[in-house]
Amino acid sequence: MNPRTVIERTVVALSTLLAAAFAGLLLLILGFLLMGAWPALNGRLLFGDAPAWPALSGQVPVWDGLWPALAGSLMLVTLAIGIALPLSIAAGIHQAEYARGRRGRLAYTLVDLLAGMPSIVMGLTGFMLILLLRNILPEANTSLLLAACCVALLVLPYLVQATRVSLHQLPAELRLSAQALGLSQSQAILHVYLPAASPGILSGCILAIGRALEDVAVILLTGVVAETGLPGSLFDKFEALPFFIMVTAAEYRDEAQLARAFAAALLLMSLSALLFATARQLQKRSLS
Amino acid sequence: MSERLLATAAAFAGGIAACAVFAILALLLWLGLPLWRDPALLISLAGSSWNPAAGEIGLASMAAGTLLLAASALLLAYPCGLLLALSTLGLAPRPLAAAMRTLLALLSGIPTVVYAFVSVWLLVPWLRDSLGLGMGYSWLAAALTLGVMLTPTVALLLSGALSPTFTRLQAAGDALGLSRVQLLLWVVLPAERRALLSALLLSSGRAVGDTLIALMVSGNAIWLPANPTEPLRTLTAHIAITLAADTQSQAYAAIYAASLLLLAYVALVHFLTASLSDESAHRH
Amino acid sequence: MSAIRCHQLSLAIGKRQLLSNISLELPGNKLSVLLGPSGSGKTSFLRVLNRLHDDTAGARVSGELTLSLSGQTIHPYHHGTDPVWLRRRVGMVFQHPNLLPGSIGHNLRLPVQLVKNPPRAELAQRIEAALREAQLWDEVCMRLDAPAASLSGGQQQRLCLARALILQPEILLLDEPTVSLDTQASSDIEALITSLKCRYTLVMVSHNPVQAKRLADKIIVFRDGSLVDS
Repeated sequence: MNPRTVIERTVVALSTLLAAAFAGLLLLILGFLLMGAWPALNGRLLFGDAPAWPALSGQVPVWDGLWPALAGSLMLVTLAIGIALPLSIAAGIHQAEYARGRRGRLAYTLVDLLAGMPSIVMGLTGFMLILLLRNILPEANTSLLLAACCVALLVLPYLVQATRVSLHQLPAELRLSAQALGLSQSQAILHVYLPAASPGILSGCILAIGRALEDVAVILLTGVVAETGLPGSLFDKFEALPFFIMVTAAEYRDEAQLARAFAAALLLMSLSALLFATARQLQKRSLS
Repeated sequence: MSERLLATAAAFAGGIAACAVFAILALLLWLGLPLWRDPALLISLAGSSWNPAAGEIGLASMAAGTLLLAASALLLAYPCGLLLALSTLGLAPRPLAAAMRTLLALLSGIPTVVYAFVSVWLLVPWLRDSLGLGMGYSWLAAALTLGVMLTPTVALLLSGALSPTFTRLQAAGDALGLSRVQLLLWVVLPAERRALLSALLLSSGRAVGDTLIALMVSGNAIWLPANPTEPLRTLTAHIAITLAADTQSQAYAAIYAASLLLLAYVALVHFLTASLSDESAHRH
Repeated sequence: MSAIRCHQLSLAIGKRQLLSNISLELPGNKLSVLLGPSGSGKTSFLRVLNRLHDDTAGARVSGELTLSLSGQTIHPYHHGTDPVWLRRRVGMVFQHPNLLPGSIGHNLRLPVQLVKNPPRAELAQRIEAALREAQLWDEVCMRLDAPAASLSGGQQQRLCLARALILQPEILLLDEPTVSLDTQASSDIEALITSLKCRYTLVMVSHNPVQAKRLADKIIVFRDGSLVDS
């Protein structure tokens, strides 16, 4: 047989095999997590023995439930996206619509470099900021706000890129007709280009939420702890779902905590899948 | 008036985004000052003995650990990712290919911590108890986990890079009587060598930057492994572990040096990728 | 009197010379048709008139161009002339309907609010007037909130015309407005254009000599970026 034919057949066989293997892997991960989480999947998962309503608002501490970690993660993500989104949309507009020539290319490069940085370096940045701050404010410490700022720094380049690319991909005719209508540049950007680019920006934003939600390396150095309950203010330490999963992988008190960590992994995975599915749906719609 | 306002606000935000890199670099250099001023300590950086109390802060074995882990994970992830990308592009029957894309998207969406967690409770015990490979926490375990985690990402990256060329050439290939696999292997792949290389570079950046899998699965021994069943430590994990445990200024200084090494790698990857795409832009 | 006058007008983008030494005069409140094969520079010339090449990298316009707007003589390429101000007085309709994403009403409301910002009560009147002028009112008055993309090709093109008219331009540039339409829709648009020429100075690009003869008060023929006879 022709050697090329051998290679072709091998490639087809291997790729089919691999596809099946990775489908099996997804099922394996799901099944394994489900099995481990089974004892914890009941009404007590979030709040444990604490009464639900007072625990929800943090009046009663939750010792054996996922609520503080879930709430911490949600607060962290909300804050981080709240900080990063306005900043990065404005920066994306700058790169797509205003920056030109050499300086424009430099701005692209710097944001792309930021996107490539290991997340642990973002965490270290927060840690270094606190070291410096302590020279002025001796009691400065890592906290929810600091972690949110660093996570914002982590997702900022993705959001800038999403905004920039969505604006660049607008059809040239749309730009021409906005100009021919006599709209000024800022009017065209705010009332025509941004609304037209919004599905792309939104799907970038959802992916950024996913990144912020799953990150551990940044918050590890900027204020996450294993057990503290709900943070009372922006300057408190906080718990987070992915951190709880990581800590439990190294050490755990009892079987119930281990089962809760499995449940937390399942929960985190479903949240991520949900975010990804939404983003894909949006991308499809913006393409059609 | 509003014209100026929007332009100024956008330029301000653009400035912040662009300056972040310089700010991080400046922080690292500034806080690392004690280290840059101490020649003996600087020289010890290049060694492989880590004993901050004795003034030895060698990063060599961690740097080698990072490269070993990243290279071995890519050795698994890149060929697998390429094959999976080919199968979504056209090796698999059409409905199956669509299902494959969804599967890859789902897998690439699984948080890193979940991969590491599953690995700790499934792969590590299997290596330890069934295969009898030492503690289980090892270079091998970390490489397998990182490789599996990177595969769907690599596959999606490659299928995105190859699909425009494939779609463009499909009609011509059909007219010549080429099968899909022939078109992909002998026409599309050679035409997209640069895209293949830049995807490799990009995923190597991801592999080097990973912290969690290295931290949770690799065993974190501070010496170099003699074989894949022994533990190793990466620069990223070293940063996390040192900041959690040490409070000595020498140890901190080494952390700043480790971060600068990582950033240098990221920058190298970026400029290599950029020069690749520049050259291909000149060609077309 | 002539509304548009140019002398030795040239356009180059990078090293490509798209228009060279165009000198012509186009009459006010008449329909002038720019005729020629594709690539001959008709559309490029049209876009010079409202400075639509400004954002094209490497585009250079040289020579003299004057427009007469509200009795004044305007030099579009002189330093003090604001391109935004110019484009608000020189409306344009493209080859293919270039609708903004959104409803029929939104396509008219957004530009008029941003450019003229009339009081609310006047807004509805203006929209109705523009749609009547574009002979679209009877077809869409009941569904201004429907997506603009749901209209037929001819209706979309008339909506684009209405969108240009609502800004009350004095000169209207039409870039092969019938090229993407079927015969019936084309003749609707042609009739509409004829009815508009007593109120506006119209400049239309066409590649169809029969259409040009049927409609034009003046015909200018382009070939390879220059004029053939005028």
